[in-house]
Amino acid sequence: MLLQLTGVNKRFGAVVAADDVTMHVEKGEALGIIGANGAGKSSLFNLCTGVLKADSGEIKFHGHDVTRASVRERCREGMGRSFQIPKPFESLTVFENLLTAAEFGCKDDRRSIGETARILEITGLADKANTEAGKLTLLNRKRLELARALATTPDLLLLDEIAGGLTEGECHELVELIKDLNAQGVTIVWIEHIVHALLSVVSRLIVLERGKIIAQGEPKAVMNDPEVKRSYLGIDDDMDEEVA
Amino acid sequence: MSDTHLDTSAAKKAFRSGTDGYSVAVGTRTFRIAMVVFALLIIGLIAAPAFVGRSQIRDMMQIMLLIGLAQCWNLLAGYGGLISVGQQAFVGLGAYFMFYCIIYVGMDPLVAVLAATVGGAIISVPIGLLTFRMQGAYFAVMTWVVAEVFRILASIYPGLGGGTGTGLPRSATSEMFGIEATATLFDMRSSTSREVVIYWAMLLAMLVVVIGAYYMLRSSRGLALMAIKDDEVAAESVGVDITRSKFIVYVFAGAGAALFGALYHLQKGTIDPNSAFSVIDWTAYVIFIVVIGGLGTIMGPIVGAIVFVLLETFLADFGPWYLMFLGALAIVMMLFAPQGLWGIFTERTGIELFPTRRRLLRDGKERP
Repeated sequence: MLLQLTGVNKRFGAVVAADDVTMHVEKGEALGIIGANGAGKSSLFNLCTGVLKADSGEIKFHGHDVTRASVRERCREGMGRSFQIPKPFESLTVFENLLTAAEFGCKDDRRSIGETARILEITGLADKANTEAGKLTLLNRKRLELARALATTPDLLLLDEIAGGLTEGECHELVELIKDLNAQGVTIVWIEHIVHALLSVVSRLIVLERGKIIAQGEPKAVMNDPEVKRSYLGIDDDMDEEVA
Repeated sequence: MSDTHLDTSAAKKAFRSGTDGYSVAVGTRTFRIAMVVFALLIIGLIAAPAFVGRSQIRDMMQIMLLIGLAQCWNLLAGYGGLISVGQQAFVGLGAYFMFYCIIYVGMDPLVAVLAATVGGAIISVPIGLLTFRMQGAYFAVMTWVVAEVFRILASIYPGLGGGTGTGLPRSATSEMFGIEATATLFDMRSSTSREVVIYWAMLLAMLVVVIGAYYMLRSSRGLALMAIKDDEVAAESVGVDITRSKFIVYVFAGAGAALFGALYHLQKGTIDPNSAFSVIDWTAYVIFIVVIGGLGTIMGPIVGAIVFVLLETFLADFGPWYLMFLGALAIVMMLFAPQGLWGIFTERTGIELFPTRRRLLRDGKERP
């Protein structure tokens, strides 16, 4: 087991970001997370990566307790993430963004210039290598989020709505890339609103509502769960019948 | 498609061996030309005492002092995001520490300057541990408070004259390393050669700080600092050690301020708490210089210091109006040209004399 959360809680005043979350991520799997806006999806990533500290509960990564480990330590243990709203280092070039990640985020000596260049190629950023990240389009900012996370040589990749705002073609390209990465052994946890993209990659799905896991399991079964339909898709089974 | 896959094992081995044709370049043609010009300039500055007068030597020392201090503050604020208004703490501590080493330990003044620099670096660690607990404006206030505490401590310490201060014993400075040789070399009086030796020390100190700052920015620590400045959360998420990066800058700037504080007071020969820990002289003017020249560039503080000394020279007769003019100028610059004089120059011409951009090349060529 790569990642294990046990009874994790997080509150901001009256708002519950994580309500007794217990979940795990198997090594090599691709896990999807869905939920309405404000369901606590990004907070969950922030708890996993250490940007937020859990009020209670335990988080284990690679089998050891990282509940109190810093963001940096977790990154160097092999956790890579992309941000929902891209956070490029704007005054650095695309290449320098990756170089920073490779230099500081790799736990061992697995970095090299050639490898950084290769990540730029597979993420479609090779032509933008020497462009300032602040001048990139949305698509390229999203690509950079992924590329920069990859430059830290992660075992676990947490993707936060990386397909949001992309065209159908761009989205397809991204899906193929994520599938490739997963096939090469990178474990993926993917938060996404674009469900068809998500379902084409993940083999397991978790649904969040107000910080609580309301369903998890095989994607098709989860999507047909009446609770999920009501909460996430806003579909009431009774209403369905009436319409029919 | 298969040849562009991220192959996690074989590809990495191949790439590390450097057979892939990729390389990184930082320097530019302009940079290489600039280095030649700088080298000539440095040779000229070393030789300057042979052909310029004592007052020009003093003016140049003033400029070099301000370049050094401004470079330190620039590194703090422009790269570390640390807005300190307490750098006078290190200037004063460096100066007092040097006086102590000369008077009580009997060190040669130049050795005492080195000791003061090391002392500045060491004392900046506990001060940093204290001030780093604060964020933003609170950090700024805290640095000032710390500097005031040291000023008060210096004024109640009787060993170096308390509030009225003290002077260096004549014997200590007249026997300083290099004075005799310099006096013989240039055929000058020992009081003049003393100033020449301090001038060279100041030149060396300035070069060490400017070149040191530049190499730090070119190193991976420079990448970390830029990343932190752009987005702290993202920087931490890719493994950048934020506190450590800021601490390195803080210690560098503390050591630098102590070094220049010691050199300045060695030249002056006297010390007192109010001038050694002066917030106006060691922080306000320095901030002005960085703002005028351009924050976050190596050339900015250099340009700013030269402009400042020119203004000081030509406007000295106007008394308080001169200070009001400086204030107004700083406000205008901050409002309309926050990038500073050097920033404007770079924008217009594209010339960057101290490049830090790491460009990815393939087979020696840059991609568009």
